[in-house]
Amino acid sequence: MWQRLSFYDVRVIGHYLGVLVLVSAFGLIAPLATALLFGEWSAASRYLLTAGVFLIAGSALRFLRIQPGRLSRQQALAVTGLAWLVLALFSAIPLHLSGHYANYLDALFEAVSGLTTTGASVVRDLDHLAYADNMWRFMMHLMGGLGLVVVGLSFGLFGKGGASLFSSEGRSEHVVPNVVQTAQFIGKITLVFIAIATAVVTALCLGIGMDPTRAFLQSLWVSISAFMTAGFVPMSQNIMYYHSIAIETFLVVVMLMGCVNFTLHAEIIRGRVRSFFEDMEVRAAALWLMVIVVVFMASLAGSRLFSDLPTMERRGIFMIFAAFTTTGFQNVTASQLTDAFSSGAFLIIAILMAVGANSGSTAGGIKIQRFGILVKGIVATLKETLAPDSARVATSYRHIGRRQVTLSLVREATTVLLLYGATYVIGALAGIASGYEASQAIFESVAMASNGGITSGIVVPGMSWPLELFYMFEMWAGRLEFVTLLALIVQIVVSATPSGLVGRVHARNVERARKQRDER
Amino acid sequence: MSSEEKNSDLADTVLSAASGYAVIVLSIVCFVVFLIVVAAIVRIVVGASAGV
Repeated sequence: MWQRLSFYDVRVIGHYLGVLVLVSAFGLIAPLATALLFGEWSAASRYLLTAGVFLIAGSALRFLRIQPGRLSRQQALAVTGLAWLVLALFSAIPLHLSGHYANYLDALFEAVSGLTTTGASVVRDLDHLAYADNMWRFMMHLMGGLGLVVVGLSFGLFGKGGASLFSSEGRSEHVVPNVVQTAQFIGKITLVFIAIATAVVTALCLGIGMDPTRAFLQSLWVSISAFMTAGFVPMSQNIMYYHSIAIETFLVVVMLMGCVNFTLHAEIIRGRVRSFFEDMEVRAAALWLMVIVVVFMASLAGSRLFSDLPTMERRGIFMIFAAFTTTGFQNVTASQLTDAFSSGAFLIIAILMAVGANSGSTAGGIKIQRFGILVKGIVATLKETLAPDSARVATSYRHIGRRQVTLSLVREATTVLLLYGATYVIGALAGIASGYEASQAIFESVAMASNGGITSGIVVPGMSWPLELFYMFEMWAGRLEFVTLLALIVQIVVSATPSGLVGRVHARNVERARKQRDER
Repeated sequence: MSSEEKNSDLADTVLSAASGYAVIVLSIVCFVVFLIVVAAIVRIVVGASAGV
């Protein structure tokens, strides 16, 4: 039976939503400080205004007083689902006011893309965007990559509601038993990696002759983007701007570290490096990459364009890792992707994004672990078929020790796989209906729903608004791995139609249950 | 726990993490180099057969 939201539930949801909005206001300190430091007064006023909007809206929602207590799963799903929407709406304000976006919808698209770590951009004249605006774009990546709830939990702001919220944001594993400490651990690891990556990339940028300020800022932004497997870049030429094989190689390592499950990071820190190498997902990812490299290179090698070895190695390998980790950096242009790459190589980039990388990391896509569990599920079915009637069949996989493949795990993996597949297809149909080539429409739809963000040229400033809206929905759904979003939609529909179809079905079920009880 | 013990614990953790990550990063670099070699072999074999 569908559960409706009561008025008290709405108050609880509003209250926690207010907390999240207030927490996110901290993120505005970075662009505001950047604007003041570099004398970008217009940008500073925009970020002050936005901070005011965040604080007023957050405080107003916090006024919805509630009884202290544990947040129910139903309420947590609604808070998380709505938080991503509300924060995107507010985050788009300074971007829209910057004048670098065709309209508010484009600014909203950028905000959704930033928060969901998709990395597809519709900014105009990116090379002349204020430092503060760029800082905000990458702060959105940082907050979104960590998870809005994780950021809030790190500050210890949700009290007893934390555990439900944590799992509703697509994170099911706890690094340590305490959810607040888990959130703090994720935050610390992220900051350490970004700091190290920034130092190295800054040195490399100075080596290629960039001035120190730009070298530091761009290194910080690119490092955030790489570790968060996000995809925004500070220059319109993407990673090609640096013309540096050293930077590209280092970013590949950072992207791969970003798509390592945080529980494995914890194991490595505890000195249990074997856990990393024994992990089913890590092994499956290595195998998957080897197969993909062979097919991708064979496809490029057979074509006339992009087939010379140094170009293939440099462009091809980088694009494979950018797609696999769902980061979305590009060292080829959108037109090269569609015209110079062979159709097979183009399709492989889409498949890599669709599958995605490791679970429990910042990467998007379906995730390799789910495919691993499904394969194990097939093995279990075969074992059961061949085993004697009296035998009890058990199948396990390695992820921080040995774990059993249970029916609920297989069901969860199947559900998410089907939902991703359906979204990829519907998005592709939307692209085709908008007049784009089928292959391009499929590619772009996959890039949005998997939060991959590599664009083949459909996502441009001032694109058609229905498609833009749908892509935003895909990014949002993909980041929350569908279940949270679907649950939110069902809750809203069920609660909003007391006399509608759902209400009548509900009333009939209640009546039937009452009659059965009376008969007994 | 005294501050000396805490510092010693922290140093142990940092050392263990650094050595762990060194192994992982080295493995990743080796894997990437391996893929580059695989790609080169594929290019030579397929490129020759396709006459490119």
